[in-house]
Amino acid sequence: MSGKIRMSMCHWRWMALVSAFTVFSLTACQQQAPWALDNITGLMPKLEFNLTNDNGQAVTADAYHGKLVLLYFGYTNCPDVCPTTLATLAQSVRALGADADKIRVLFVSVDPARDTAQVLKSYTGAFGPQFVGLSGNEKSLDALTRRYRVVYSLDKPDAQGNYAVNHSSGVFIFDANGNARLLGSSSSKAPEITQDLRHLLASG
Amino acid sequence: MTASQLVPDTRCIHYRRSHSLAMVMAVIITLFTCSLAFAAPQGDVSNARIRLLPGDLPLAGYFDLMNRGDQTLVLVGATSIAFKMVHMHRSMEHNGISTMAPVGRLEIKPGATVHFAPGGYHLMLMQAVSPLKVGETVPVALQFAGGQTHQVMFTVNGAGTE
Repeated sequence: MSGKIRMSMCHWRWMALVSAFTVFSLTACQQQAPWALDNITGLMPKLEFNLTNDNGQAVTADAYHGKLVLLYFGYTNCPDVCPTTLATLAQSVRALGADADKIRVLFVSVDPARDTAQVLKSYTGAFGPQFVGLSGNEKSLDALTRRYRVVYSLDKPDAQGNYAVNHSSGVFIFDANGNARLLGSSSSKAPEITQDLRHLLASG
Repeated sequence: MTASQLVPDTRCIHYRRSHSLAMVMAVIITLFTCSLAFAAPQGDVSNARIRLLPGDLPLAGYFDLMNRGDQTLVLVGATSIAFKMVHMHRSMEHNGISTMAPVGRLEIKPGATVHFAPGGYHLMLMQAVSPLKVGETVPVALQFAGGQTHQVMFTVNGAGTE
């Protein structure tokens, strides 16, 4: 009888120990997955493109080697979503303080007819020194958008010749070696982007 | 200015006291009725702002509009003396694609609030008559079904704001 009681006491201790260990392991797991954005490591190809920067010079991804790159597609005649997203990214980058210079936000215009280098330069400049405007001809833009499996299309112009452009809401984040790491979107919040950028910077 | 002041003066001279009192009452009633007819159709607008972008790019106007009346409000558009064109738009995200579509009319039920906010409804303000500056205020007239308008002052904010 007393042996049975001792057995069950022992059993309870084991149970408690196992539960405590499970809780501890789960917490540890959560700490090992720090990303607020979607982890796309290994799922998307390295950063690669042939475009023209906002100084009118031809550039490839090599120009940004050593920087964490945030890649976003849009157009400057977009009054709402593009500046909203860029404002959020600007806020995220500013929050890094001195590390902000380790980041480059590449705003790729998929509306090259209206977005000349000059327009892009003043536009991206309004969001911060880390922002760069890029564009190119249809062939080079298509090569880049296909690479990251995003699409864009131009709506029919209205009576005044204005037209909207449908574009990806994705924000692709690459590490300093150009490896695709994270995917955010227009609706990602600044603190979560900042947190992930900090983790990426810390992990080298 | 002087002409409008002269008119009641001459009337006061020619009419007896009771008549002039009646006139004043009539004017007051007329003014009161007029102000009701032209007043904002039971809508409270707050947080009205424009996000400034460089050059002459189209800008987004945002605000919150609450219907405090007992009838549905129908917002049909907006105009502004500061812009040649104002459109009412809605941004949407579908399958990872951001799109924008014109909005012809927007119904706001009694007690409800509609938010013109980043990533959703917004005014698209095009071709500024003169360059805007951060911190200034710009009048925008919201237009409602039935021909009523509600003029609101929008604050101009910087590009990096929401």
